[in-house]
Amino acid sequence: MLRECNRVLKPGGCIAGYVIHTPTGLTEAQARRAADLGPSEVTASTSPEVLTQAAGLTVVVKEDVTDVFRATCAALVVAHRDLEDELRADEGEDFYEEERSKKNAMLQGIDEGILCRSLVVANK
Amino acid sequence: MWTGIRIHPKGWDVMEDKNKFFELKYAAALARAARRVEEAALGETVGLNGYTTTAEAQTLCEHLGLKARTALLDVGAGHGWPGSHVAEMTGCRLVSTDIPWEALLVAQLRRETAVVQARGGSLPFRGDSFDAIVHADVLC
Repeated sequence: MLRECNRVLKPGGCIAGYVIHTPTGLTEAQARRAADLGPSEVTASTSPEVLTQAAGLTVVVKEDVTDVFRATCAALVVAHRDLEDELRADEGEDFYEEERSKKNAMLQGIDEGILCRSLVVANK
Repeated sequence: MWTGIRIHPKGWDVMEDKNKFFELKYAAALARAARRVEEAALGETVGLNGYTTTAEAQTLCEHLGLKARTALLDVGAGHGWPGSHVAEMTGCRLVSTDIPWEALLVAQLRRETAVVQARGGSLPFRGDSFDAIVHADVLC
């Protein structure tokens, strides 16, 4: 995706975004667990800034925002729990359970230190 | 004139199950209760489809430094957040791409944007088309 972004971006253009990823130096078992708890395509071996540079872009900002990520995730987990009856009725049992499970797993991964989130800004 | 374009790229069938999940996800997110989750969790309703708060969307806006009428691409836009925030703050021209078509229609309802159904790894645009690109929780 980053290579495609580089292609369609004008020279001097800027790409900015938030990335959920794993910290560097995880063991194979930790990387597998991170992929289980987080998004299925979570980066397991390469940092987002390395991926960005590999796509031919120049990283100008890389900032860890895991604290805010955790707070947002925790707030969503609590809200899901507090509004459980409404959500089950409006979204259906299966969807509710899947969303609840995904959010709890994400929070677990953050708390285990194997999932984090960063702001990455790069120029072409 | 803003348009919506659906393009089925190579490997689309492999994505079918995932597509169904996201179509369900975005349809469900339209429900009143889903909006109440956002209100309860974050104290606002911006059409969140990831973890990017309004403050974080504003940070993206500041880094991108866009001006009115420049071209912004939101990759993996979902309901159009955070691209819609950047477009609103800067007056730039927004193009939103993602796989779930229903989500893109919601994005189009929220703010004037061209919507293109496409995968981030195969963007159907000419080279050097955009002044800036924004994304949130896509590169994972």
